[in-house]
Amino acid sequence: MTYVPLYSPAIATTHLKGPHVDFAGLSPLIALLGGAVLVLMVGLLGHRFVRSQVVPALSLGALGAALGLTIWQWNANKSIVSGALRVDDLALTLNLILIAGGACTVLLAWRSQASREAAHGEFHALLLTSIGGMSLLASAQNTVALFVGLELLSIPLYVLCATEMRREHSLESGLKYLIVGSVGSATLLYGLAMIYGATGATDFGAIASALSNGSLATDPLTLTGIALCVAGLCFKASVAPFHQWTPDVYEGAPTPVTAFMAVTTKVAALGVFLRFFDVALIATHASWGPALAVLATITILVGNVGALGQSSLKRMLAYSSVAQAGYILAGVVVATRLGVQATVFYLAVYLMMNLASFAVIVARERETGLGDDLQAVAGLGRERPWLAWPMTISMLALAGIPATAGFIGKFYLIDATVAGGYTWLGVAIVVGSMISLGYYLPVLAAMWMREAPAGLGRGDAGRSSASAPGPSGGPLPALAGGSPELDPGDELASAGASADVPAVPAVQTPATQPEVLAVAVLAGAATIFFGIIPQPLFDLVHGAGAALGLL
Amino acid sequence: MPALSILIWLPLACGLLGAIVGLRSERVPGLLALLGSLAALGLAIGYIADYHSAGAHLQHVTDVVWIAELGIHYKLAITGLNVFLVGLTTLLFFAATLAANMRSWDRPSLFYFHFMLAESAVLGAFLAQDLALFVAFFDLMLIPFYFLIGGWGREPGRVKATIKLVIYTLVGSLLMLAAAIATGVLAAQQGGGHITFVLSSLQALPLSTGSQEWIFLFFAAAFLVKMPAFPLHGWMPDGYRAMPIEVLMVFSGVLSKVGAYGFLAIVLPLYPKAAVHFQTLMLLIALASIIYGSMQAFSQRDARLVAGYSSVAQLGFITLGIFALNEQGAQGALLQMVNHGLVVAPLLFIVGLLAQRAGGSEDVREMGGIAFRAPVLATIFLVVALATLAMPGSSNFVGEFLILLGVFKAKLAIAIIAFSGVVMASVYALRLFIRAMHNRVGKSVDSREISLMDGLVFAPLLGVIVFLALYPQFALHRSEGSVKSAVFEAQALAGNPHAQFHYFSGTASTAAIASTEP
Amino acid sequence: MATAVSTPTMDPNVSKFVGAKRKLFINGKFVDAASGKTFPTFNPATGEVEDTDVGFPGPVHAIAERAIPMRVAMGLLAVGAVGAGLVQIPKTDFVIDDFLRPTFATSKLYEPHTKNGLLVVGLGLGTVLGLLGIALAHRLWVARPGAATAIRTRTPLGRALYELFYNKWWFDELIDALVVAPMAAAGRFARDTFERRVIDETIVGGVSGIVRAGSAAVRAAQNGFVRYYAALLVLGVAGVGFYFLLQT
Repeated sequence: MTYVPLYSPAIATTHLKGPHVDFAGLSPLIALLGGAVLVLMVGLLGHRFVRSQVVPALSLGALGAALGLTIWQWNANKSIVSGALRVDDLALTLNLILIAGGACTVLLAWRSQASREAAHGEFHALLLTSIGGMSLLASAQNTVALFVGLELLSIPLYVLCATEMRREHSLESGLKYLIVGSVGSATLLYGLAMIYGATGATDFGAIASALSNGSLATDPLTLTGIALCVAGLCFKASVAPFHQWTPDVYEGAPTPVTAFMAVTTKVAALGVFLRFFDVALIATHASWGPALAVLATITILVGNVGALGQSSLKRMLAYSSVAQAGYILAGVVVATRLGVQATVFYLAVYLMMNLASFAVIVARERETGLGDDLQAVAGLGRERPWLAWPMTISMLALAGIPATAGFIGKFYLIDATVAGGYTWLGVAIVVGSMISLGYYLPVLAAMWMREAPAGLGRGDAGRSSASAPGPSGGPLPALAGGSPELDPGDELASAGASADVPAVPAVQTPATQPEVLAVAVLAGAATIFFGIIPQPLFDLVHGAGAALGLL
Repeated sequence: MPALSILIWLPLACGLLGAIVGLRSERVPGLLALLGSLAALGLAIGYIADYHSAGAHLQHVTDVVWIAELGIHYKLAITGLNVFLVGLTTLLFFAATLAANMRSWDRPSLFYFHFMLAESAVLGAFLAQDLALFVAFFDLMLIPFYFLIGGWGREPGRVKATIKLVIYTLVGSLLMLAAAIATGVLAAQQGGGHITFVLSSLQALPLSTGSQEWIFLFFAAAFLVKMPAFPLHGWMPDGYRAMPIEVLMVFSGVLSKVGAYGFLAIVLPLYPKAAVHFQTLMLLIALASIIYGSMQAFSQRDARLVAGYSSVAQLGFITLGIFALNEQGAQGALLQMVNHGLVVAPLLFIVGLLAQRAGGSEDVREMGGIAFRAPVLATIFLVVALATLAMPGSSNFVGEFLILLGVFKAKLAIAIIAFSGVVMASVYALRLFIRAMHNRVGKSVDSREISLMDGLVFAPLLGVIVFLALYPQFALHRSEGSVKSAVFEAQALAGNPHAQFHYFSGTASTAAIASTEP
Repeated sequence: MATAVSTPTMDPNVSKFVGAKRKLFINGKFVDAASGKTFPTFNPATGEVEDTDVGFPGPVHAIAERAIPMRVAMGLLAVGAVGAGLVQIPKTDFVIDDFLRPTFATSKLYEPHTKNGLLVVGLGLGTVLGLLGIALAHRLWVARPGAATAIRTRTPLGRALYELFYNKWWFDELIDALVVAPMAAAGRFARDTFERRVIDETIVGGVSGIVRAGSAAVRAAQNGFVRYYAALLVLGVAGVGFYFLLQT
């Protein structure tokens, strides 16, 4: 038995060769995660100005840096981290969409109750981490990276949903998301494990080549694995019948967080659908194609039909996002280049449409005491045209009316489905649009054809978004999140907890906050602009389509 | 002549300008809208004068690639099919804007903005030569009306009525969207080459019969709901009741024609096999519309709904003419489209005037004897009523005659039953006239003569009605070439013998008709 | 019954008064009868009920041709009728035939300048009947006044014929029963029943009912309990798994 002395000249003179780290390729991710750490640290500083103004500004800065680095890496088309991540046009385009969504969320959350309660630093750090996870997910080429990205995206979201700690719905939403989300993640992990067991590989490319060798494609282990992966990913993307968590979670969460979830989670989840199914499992397309198509149809029907008659705008938008997930899934089903392009195009458009409406809801929540009820936007056309028009454009775009980007998006999706041989799916998309009019039009009617509810004036009801009254009269005990470290200027947080009815305004909120208005107007303008001149978006997604090497 | 885009977008530009300036002044939006619609009318008259029926099929073409990936072009052109419909649109919008200026509206800048947006969208739908562009304008033109009816409509149930109207119409229109996309994709797949939606290119890439059939049905759903045709007219009574009269004038006069135009300009040239396959079905639907619409028209008590159901019947005649699948029927249908628009707008305006003179009620049981202090109104009403019932001597008679002649050649039995529709038209038109204008003066009737402004609204419409009554050849001659090429393939497939006798040139001829051109 | 008035036009106030319903002038006001009843006014010349509600001054009757414009118009028509008869006398002149020839030349049924003898027979028969009618009318009304009334009142056939002719062969009533009443009934059926039941309730209501039922089902499934959602998720997984396993 020879033993190596503790200190050996041979070892001392050998340089350990580490793996090559492509920092350039990783830079957007580093910017996001590094920004998260920085924001968290800065948020610990005591001064209120620093916490409430500098922290969001820093997160915007981190997002800006990520944006710049993403553009810098354009046309890179390389695999990094030993093939676990891929930096190609698809990942970068999705990154752009995610960063845009994140930036708008930061703006919406700048003066929100949630951010105050969560101590700005934590809130923004969680946000940036979640975006980092989404970015990771969009470039994942390995099942392990996929799972890491998924968890990195989900866990901060579980917490973010519950940040309005004094409001029961918010806590409920966070808890539900945590529990049901865990079931979904577990299902996905189980499926990934089975696929590993069947193919012996975790890398997408290796899985694809393993599956293309004949018998594995019909092996029960593989197929069960695929089934479980479908279920897990459908859960994340709110595809029926795994969408049950969506209405409750979206309605309960603070509105900026709902906006974030509604948009960026879908982008990430459907992006990973594209990569996983169109690259790794492409050989088994004949198995999962019809299954996903049927799921998409069910989603479209369930989502649209469930939104009818909802009086809560957030719940309606939750069901609507379920339906939109169905539309976008149709682009994944066909597994063609056109399908990928249509999917990414619609995701970009979806971002704009949803942000416009969520921004208006945030603004109205803060102005009136009616929360996200339909009555909050009644009479908006007369009182606040600058808010009414973005909401109108958003509703029309979601319904697919021409002159908005939503029309072009739907056109592209139906084009892709018909070209891919799934004409009936295109008809299902159209049927879904018809039904969706039944809940988008009443919002327009409330804004333009009805009067504002009586007793509501500008700055009259100063209550902000945390308006659903708690079940008990007194302040919540520390266990439920009552915290003495809250900002001292936050009378509202302590006063609001004891109110059963929309109470005396303790804080006078300004008429409409400019950053929220800016998000609404910009998103609305972008929707119309790209509805008339969509060529820039088409050019953007062209590269994304070519990235996966499909026909 | 300036580019067609100016014609389309000028009204919208005036509407936008009015909306911005109108934040300061209440009168300016209406006047700007009037100017815009007048300018559009002038341009349209110029295009009509400039149209050469012996020239190329598409004139004043504007062709710009809009979305290269999807093969969608922003392509506009004047053809024999749409030149008069464009004139009709601008004329009716001008008259309606003039009528609207006589009233004061709540939030006028918004009202006129939507009005002008509607005009631009309708003009775009008529002038579009690209299938996707047509569908886009077709869907878009409904949205301003959603706001106009919901925001300024008549009270009981205007919001419900407008939601029902929009959803019902968009159900059909969205099916048409799916069918249109399928057309583009399948044409490229079956014919080879890049995807395209330009109508002239699609005409050269015929689809298989199976595809044509379901696509035809989807298009038919959209157009039949638009017109409306029995039994898809469920949105009409509530919608018509809810609309303000000025909005109803253009809605009934122009929007329904886009559906009929779509059949003639898009469905027949692109899906001729399906058109022949479903010819009997469509003729039966048209016949049912004629009979049901007429029956309802002479039983209704609400004067508006008399006009509404009479529109159902008249559009039934137009559909009948189109699906006779021969030139006479199609020519008659096209002429009737223009005629019906010219007649229904003044008719609806008259209904508004009658209501003013009957204590605000549009119920015919409350009217009566209005003619006695309003002879000019009575004369105008009589001219319009006689034109509605297609009295020989009016252009409507020429149109109906051609339609019935065409159907007579195609399906004899249906033509014979359709003749009863002519009789029923006279029943409902005269019933309305007599019950409103003659006999005992109604209880709350306080009749007075029409004002100068009302006369100004009528003048251009009646002028054109009389002109066409005297010289319908003006319209028939210019549209002949385009109509022939539109029905050419369907006619050939249906096996109808080509006309043995050219009514218009007076020579007997069995010469083959020149084939279509791009 | 609107008739031409040969008197100068009345002042509108006068014609309004003349045409208005007659009331009782009591205590300086025009009032209705206490019982509310009215009685009709009869035209003494013909015995028919006067319609005093018509807007124009009603109760003046005159034979239309007293007015010059009417006389001129009738005269022109008479001249025209004679002229129209003269242009197409069978076997003599063929003005209308020649005028219409271009239109009908290609028709199989067209026969130029018909030489059919039946035309002359028809002409002759028509002339004879016409002259007979004039003679009969002269005898009944001019030569022996009162003969018509005698026939009418004394012979049952005369009475029956008189009723028939007086009631215009009941032609209006026949058309009313055969055509107008059924059409009106059909129209009422369409308006009241068909439109409501079939169009509104079945087509529109049916479709929106189905959609609303679906909506209720989906929203009912959303009852807020996490264990229920997890159960549905498991069911969904089972379903998807089952589908995929069928592929083996």
